[in-house]
Amino acid sequence: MALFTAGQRILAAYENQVALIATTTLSTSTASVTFSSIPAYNNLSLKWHAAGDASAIVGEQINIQVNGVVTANYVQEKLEANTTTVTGTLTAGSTNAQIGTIPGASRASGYMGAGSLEMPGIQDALNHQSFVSMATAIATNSASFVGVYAGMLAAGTAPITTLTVFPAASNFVAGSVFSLYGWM
Amino acid sequence: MDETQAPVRPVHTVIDCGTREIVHTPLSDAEVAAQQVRVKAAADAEAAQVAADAELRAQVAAHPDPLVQALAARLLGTGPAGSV
Repeated sequence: MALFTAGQRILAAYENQVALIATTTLSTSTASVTFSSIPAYNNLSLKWHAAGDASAIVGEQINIQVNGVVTANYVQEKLEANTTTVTGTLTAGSTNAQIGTIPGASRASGYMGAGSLEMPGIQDALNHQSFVSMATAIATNSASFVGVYAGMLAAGTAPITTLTVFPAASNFVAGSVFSLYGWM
Repeated sequence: MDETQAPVRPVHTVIDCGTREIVHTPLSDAEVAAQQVRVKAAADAEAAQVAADAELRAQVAAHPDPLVQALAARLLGTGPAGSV
């Protein structure tokens, strides 16, 4: 007995495809990028290729807020290497969650950061939203950051429909790319 | 979905994933001013960290015990200041 009819097989394959929800390549200095009206996928992934324009800065934090929540309800843990120094930091009660570090204006010409944020199970309506990311910010050949960042919005259980990403101090430079993917 | 608009000052960008509409809103004067304060604070913090690191390395380099110097060189490397 077949597990699926022909049509069901096609549907199952379709539903397991990763879909590009939206992408943008910034053409100007941008303080924040917001994805709104995000469709109801079970899993989201945000990928970036970016740098900040804060002067005299080697590395700058990149943060998110979800569903427009700006209150101090984010909990985050990071394990980050700054060139040769590795540190772990737990922070509760933040108004946003760090998802990585990007090179600042002191980066070498053409050097950009890269990262990926994973948000699994976002249709869970009983528990808080949690997420994890990895990011790198090689700013120069002697100054770099790489890390794993965990976060949670410890308030509410609403599925994620809005995602805002922004640098801690300044703006994303033109040429930065942000892409949001979703799958079931 | 590349942008085509190029405002003079930095913008907030909102992408409606349903309609694919992209809206750019230039920062207000207050936002620009606040950003300048944050950037200066971040630069100052990074500069302070760089100075602290340099001071520590100088102290280690001047330490008479070669074992301390070797250990410090292994642990400290030549890393820059922390992220801000």
